[in-house]
Amino acid sequence: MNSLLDSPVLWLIATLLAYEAGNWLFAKLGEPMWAPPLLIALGLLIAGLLITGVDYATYFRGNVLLHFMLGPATVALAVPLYHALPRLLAAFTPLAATLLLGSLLGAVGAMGLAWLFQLSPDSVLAFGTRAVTTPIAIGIAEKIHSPIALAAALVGFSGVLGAAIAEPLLRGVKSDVARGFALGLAAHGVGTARAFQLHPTAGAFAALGMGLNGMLTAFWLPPVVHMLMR
Amino acid sequence: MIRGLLILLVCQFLGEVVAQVLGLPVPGGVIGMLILFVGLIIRRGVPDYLEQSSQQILRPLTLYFVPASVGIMTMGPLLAQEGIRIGIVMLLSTLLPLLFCAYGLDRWLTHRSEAS
Repeated sequence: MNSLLDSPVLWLIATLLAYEAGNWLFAKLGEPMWAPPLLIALGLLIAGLLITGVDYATYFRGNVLLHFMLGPATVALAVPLYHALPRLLAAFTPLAATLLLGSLLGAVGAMGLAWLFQLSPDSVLAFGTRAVTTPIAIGIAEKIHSPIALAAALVGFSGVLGAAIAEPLLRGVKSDVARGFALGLAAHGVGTARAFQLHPTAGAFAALGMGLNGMLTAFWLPPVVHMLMR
Repeated sequence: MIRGLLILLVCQFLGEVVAQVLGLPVPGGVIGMLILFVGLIIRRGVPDYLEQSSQQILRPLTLYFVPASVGIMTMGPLLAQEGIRIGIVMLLSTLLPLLFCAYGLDRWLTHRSEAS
């Protein structure tokens, strides 16, 4: 019995089932913002693991295939980014300057705040990737040895948070380009989805901000962290 | 599907080679993304098969986050100790870039359109 519970394929099935169940329940509940499909799937899986007493290492072994897909999926982000390139060139200087500011504020600002609130070194590191889209954030987390699950959770929850508070906070922003680009920079995937609801232009620039911020931060953050830790 | 996946995997591997050779602690996938991005610019377009494969791979993107995210179950003690502060920092660190970037860029863009 125990050996069957440890079977890798069982936990791959469990992940796929939980993912499908998450999407299904999300639609059934009327797409509530506080319960995205991923969160539902995680709740189901963790409950299942706790009930069966199977540890995380065993679960993960069955799911290396899915985890591996983060690599090629990150490379694939180059395709939508390429399609968005003309938009970047249309207002290159302001967008590039905002990108630099967003990448710095997103990583250094978050780590500084975490340090001010006296969080543990692990948590401070995990905040470094808070503003980076999840597949890239996980890649960076592996390089800077921050707790990957916490890094991924911070990205996910803050995206939901940023998308939820965006509309009232950004009411004073006139340009859809600025609203969208900032949402992509600060709230990645969920923020981009929210920007598309506000205006198609905002959505397109959000996708651009998300892709550029992920790529840029991945190039400077791990070397800086490595240098400081030495 | 396979041809497109092959391109993505080769780019990822080249990214890992570059990271290793230059001693860069940058994820191979991200360097691969840059390699593909530059390749598309040089080629001036995305071949159909690559367009299809990348869409197929990106569609269930959140599914790939699940295995890593389930690891949060091992972080109970940390969350019990710091959970509330982590929540506060998460809110503040999301507001910070969102407000600065949105209002800063808005000023710049409207100023530019008035000037021209």
